[in-house]
Order: sequence, then C-alpha cells, then structure tokens
Amino acid sequence: MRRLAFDPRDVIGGLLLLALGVATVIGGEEYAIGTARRMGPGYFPVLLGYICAALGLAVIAKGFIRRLWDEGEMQLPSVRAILGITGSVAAFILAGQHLGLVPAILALVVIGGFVDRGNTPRSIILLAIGVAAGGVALFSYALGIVFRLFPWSY
Amino acid sequence: MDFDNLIAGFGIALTFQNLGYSLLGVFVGNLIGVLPGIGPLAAISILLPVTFGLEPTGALIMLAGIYYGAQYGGATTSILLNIPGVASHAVTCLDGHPMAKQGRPGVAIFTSMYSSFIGACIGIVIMMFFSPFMVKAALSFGPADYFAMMALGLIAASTLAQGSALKSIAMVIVGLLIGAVGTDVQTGQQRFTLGIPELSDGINLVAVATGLFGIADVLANVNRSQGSILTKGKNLALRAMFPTRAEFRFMTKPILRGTGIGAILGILPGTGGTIASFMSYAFEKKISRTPSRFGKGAIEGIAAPEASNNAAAQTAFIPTLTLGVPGDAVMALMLGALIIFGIQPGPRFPAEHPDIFWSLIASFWIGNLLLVLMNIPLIGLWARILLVPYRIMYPAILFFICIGVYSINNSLFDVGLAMAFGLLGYGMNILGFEPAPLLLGYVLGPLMEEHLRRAMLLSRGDPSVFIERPISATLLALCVALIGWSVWSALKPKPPELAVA
Repeated sequence: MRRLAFDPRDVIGGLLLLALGVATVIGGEEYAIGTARRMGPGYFPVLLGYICAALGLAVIAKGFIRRLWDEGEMQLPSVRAILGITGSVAAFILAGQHLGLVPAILALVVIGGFVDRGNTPRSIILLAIGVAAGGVALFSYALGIVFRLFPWSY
Repeated sequence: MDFDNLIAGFGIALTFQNLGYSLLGVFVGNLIGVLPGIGPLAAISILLPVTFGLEPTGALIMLAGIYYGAQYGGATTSILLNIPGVASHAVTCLDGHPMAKQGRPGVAIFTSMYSSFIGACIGIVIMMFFSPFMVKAALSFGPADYFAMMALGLIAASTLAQGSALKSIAMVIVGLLIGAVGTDVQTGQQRFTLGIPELSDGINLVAVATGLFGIADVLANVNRSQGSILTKGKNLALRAMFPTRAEFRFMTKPILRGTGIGAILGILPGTGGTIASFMSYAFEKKISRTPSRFGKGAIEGIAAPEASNNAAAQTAFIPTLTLGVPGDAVMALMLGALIIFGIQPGPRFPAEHPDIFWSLIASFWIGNLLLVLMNIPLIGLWARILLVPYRIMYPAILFFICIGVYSINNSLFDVGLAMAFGLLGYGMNILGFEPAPLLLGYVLGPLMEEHLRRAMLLSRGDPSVFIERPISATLLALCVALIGWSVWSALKPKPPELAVA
C-alpha cells in the first residue's frame, strides 16, 4: 500500500466530525438559544456543535502528525458485508411490514447468510427454517410479541 | 446498613419467579458471553427488550444476571481461545491461555471463576456498606455538582480506556448530540427530528446499543473469523478442574489485592473493570518474586485480574444506583433500562424503592453463586458451543437483534434505526473510534443538559457556580488534570525505536 503523509482514518473521521458540528450549529439556529440563565432548547446542542467541530479539526491535525497515529493501518470496509447485511435487515423490515414475521425471518437469514462465502445454499435454507421455527416458538408463543406471522394471518 | 431490608430483599429475590429470572439471566448471559467477540454490552443490549415485559424487579435481576453471566463467560473464551470477548478479559488471556495450552484449561477456568466469585462477593459487601454513605453524600449534591460528576465520568471513560483519548472525547460529544434528538423536556420543542414523528421521543436506547455493539460486530466479523479455532477441549472433566491445595493458598492474596484495586476503581466514575484488571495484573507482576513466570501460565496472573474486574463490576453499581451517574457503558445501559421502567436512580432510589434496591443486592449474591454452581458442570457444553462456526451463528444473532429491537415499541422503524447505528459502528470501527464513549454520552446527554440548565438558572446565569462549590470544583479540577495528563502523555517524546517506525 502506498504510504500517505496522513492517517486516512483521522482525516476522514475528523472531516465527518467537523461536518456534524457545523450541521448541528446551523440546524440548531432554528431553535431558541436563550440566555445562559434561561437556556433555550438550542443552547446545549449548539454549544456541543461548536465543540464537535473543534474536535474534528483536532482529529484532522492528529492525522498529520505521524507520532500520534493510531496503531495498525486502516482496513478497507467490506462492501459485501455492508450491502448484504443492510439488504437482509431491509428485507426483514419490508417483509415484516407487508407479509409477516415468518417471511421476514426467511428473507433475513437467506440474504444475510449469503454474505459469508462459507455458507452453502443448503445450509442457509436449513438455517433459515431452523431460525424461523425457533424464533416463532420463542418470541410469538413464549414471549407473546405482537407480530403477524403470515400474510394471511391477522 | 440495614439488615432488615437485606433480609426482605432476599425474601423477594428468593421467590420462585425471581430466582427463575436470575437463573435465566445468568444462563443466557453466560451463553452469549462465551461466544467470541460478544461481551456484556452486546449481551445486555440484545436481551434488554426481552426483559421489558417483566415487572421492574424481575427485569433488573435478570439484567444483572446477564451482565455477570457474560463476565464469567468471557473469561472462558479468553482462556480456551485466546480471544477476549471484552476488553476487561484481555489480561486473562495472557496467562489463562498458556495455562490451557499446558493441558490445564480446567484449572485456569476454575481459578477465574473462583477468583471472580470472591471478588464479586467482597464487592457486594462493600456495595451494601458504602451505598448509604453515598446516599448521604449525594443529598448535598447540587445540579452543578451532578453536572461536574457526569463530566468527570465522561472524560475519565474516554481518556483512560483503550484507543485515542481525543477520538473518544469526540465520540462522547457525538453521543451527547444523539441524546439531544427528540423533544426538549422544558419547552416541548422538537429538536433534530427531521420531521420524523418516530423520533419525537428520542432515539431508542436499544436501537443505539444493539446497532453499535451487535450489528457492527456482525459487519466486522462476517467472512473474517473462519470456522472455529478451538482444539478439542480436553481435561475439562470435573476432576481435572481443581487447583492443588498449594495453588489455592498461593492465590488467596492476589485475589484480595485484585479485589481491593477493583472495588476502588469500580466506584470511581469512568474507570471500570478493564482498567482494574490491567492495574492489578501489573501490580502482581511488580511485587512478584518471579515476574518471569507471568505470561507463561502464572496462576496469580489469572486470579488477580479476574477478582479485580468482578469486584469493579459490583461496585460500579454504587454510583449508578445512588447518584444516577453510570461509570461505564454497561452501567449506562442499566441506567437507561431503569429509566425505561420508570425508576429514576439517584440518592432517593434506595429509600423510595427499598424492595428493588435490596432485592437487587440479594440477587447479585444468588446470581454469582448460581454461576459458579452452573459453570463447573457446563464448561464442557460451552467448549462444544465454541465449535459452532460463526457463519452459522451470525444470521441467528442478526434475527435476535431485529426482533428484539422491534419488540420494544412494535416498531420496524426502530429496526432500521438499529441498522443505521450498525453501519455507524462499523464505520467507527474502521476509522478507529470507540463506540462505548458514544453510548455513555448518549445516555448521560439529557441528564447533563438538565443539570446544566438548572445550575445556571439557580446561579442566575453565572458560570462561576461550577468553581465556587467545593464538590463541583474538585471534580472539574480532576477533569482538567485528566485532559492535561492525556495531552502530555500523547505529546511526550517516545523512545526512538517507536518514533522512527
């Protein structure tokens, strides 16, 4: 890997903190600031926003001082994990909304299961059935959580 | 100290129902704690929703059980696999794993359980005697003092834990900001809700915690930790578990020293089991006549840190319950759970809810005893669970998180929120930011804001109230000292071989 003059973790993280701080200060101006004696709803968040932005700058600065770098190097995020896991949870939400708990669990485990390359279609299907059966028994029957099971149940 | 209340507490804790909750809590906590990479934080956040259907006493007993169940379980994983489930067990790996490799995993696990039990028992006694004093002291606390106390807790937690102190303090601020989302209690103003009605009650604690610690963990570990690493557990039979009598005698003093260090650090805000275990390990190594044995299976290298972190785990409840100021992220979760149950911890809590307070203490004892009794026969089972590959485990973990988050408000929106926090946690992990300070800041945010506003209202807008009150001045001076110390230790010249790199 090419050597950089800065630690990308600190620079990216610092920029994000800076952005969050600035956004908070701008967004917080909608709310009444009040006085130090009678603080309005905007006072505390705006104060934090300034601190957050300042810390963001400090973290960026830290990233340019080699001596202050964190240990190790930045690991690249796994796109497969991000897309797969987010997709599986999104499928759980959508299927849960429109179809019911059982389809939601099957969607979650099947989509989520494929993220790991070691899983075979057969093991994923068996796992999905197992989790669905156990999950319904535990949460719907034993703990009584309200969640319709199938599209045709209510 | 109130023996009548304690006996009454045992009466409540020993009812069939609460005993069952305790047993269930320690069992499930233990089970989850044994899984590599999942510590008490993830265990409590995943199981928190399950307890919401119970009445507060039972739920708290179960949560406390999950907490130290996961603590004990984490030690098992550290010893057998050399993977600390939580930072506070990282030290246990140093001598526990070599001992397991020498063919004595049973002795190592027994030692860790035995020392944990002694440490926890002494921690509970200290908690019983010390809490009333804390309550008395707390009654003289004004809003400025509370604010300073929380500030100290947040700063100590971020400067003393692992990782960059600067980045951890930044995470505290982000946590405080996340805590500000929702309806402002004093004016009813909606803040940072982006017009989403689900956010007007604030961001759900369970969504934040399960996202940051559960989903982020799955994202980081999927496809990475392949298969299982455990070499078939031998010598885990009951007979091979007991240390020799000489070893028993040998570890008594390290256990007591570890307990002392842990009990003190547990009470202090922001310092918890992790620092306690590292400190007591270092202390044992320093005073040992044969420091060379450390790292190669020294029994006191397991006993002292384990006693220490369990003593700290118990005494950490003192500031959480009597001041309402949690010292670390686990306690912050506990505090959050209490508030969800409609109980506001603080100096009036032991007096207003003596039944809950004392039955909780009684249940600590019962739970620790149950763990020791249960763990010994179950070690073989835990070792087999460690053989289940992660690729089979994580889809089930994911499901537990989704259904758990859903069940709090029957809201799929919260599930999406948890996923968002999972992505945030994964990003933080990659960029080297710690999630625990964020959670602590998030829980303390609303409380801090309230105390800040109240203090400034009482002082008519004069900030000098924070340095005029002796308690607040002392605590804030400690904050400044901690920040100064961490700046100094980051900037001081390092030994040349490290600086060149």
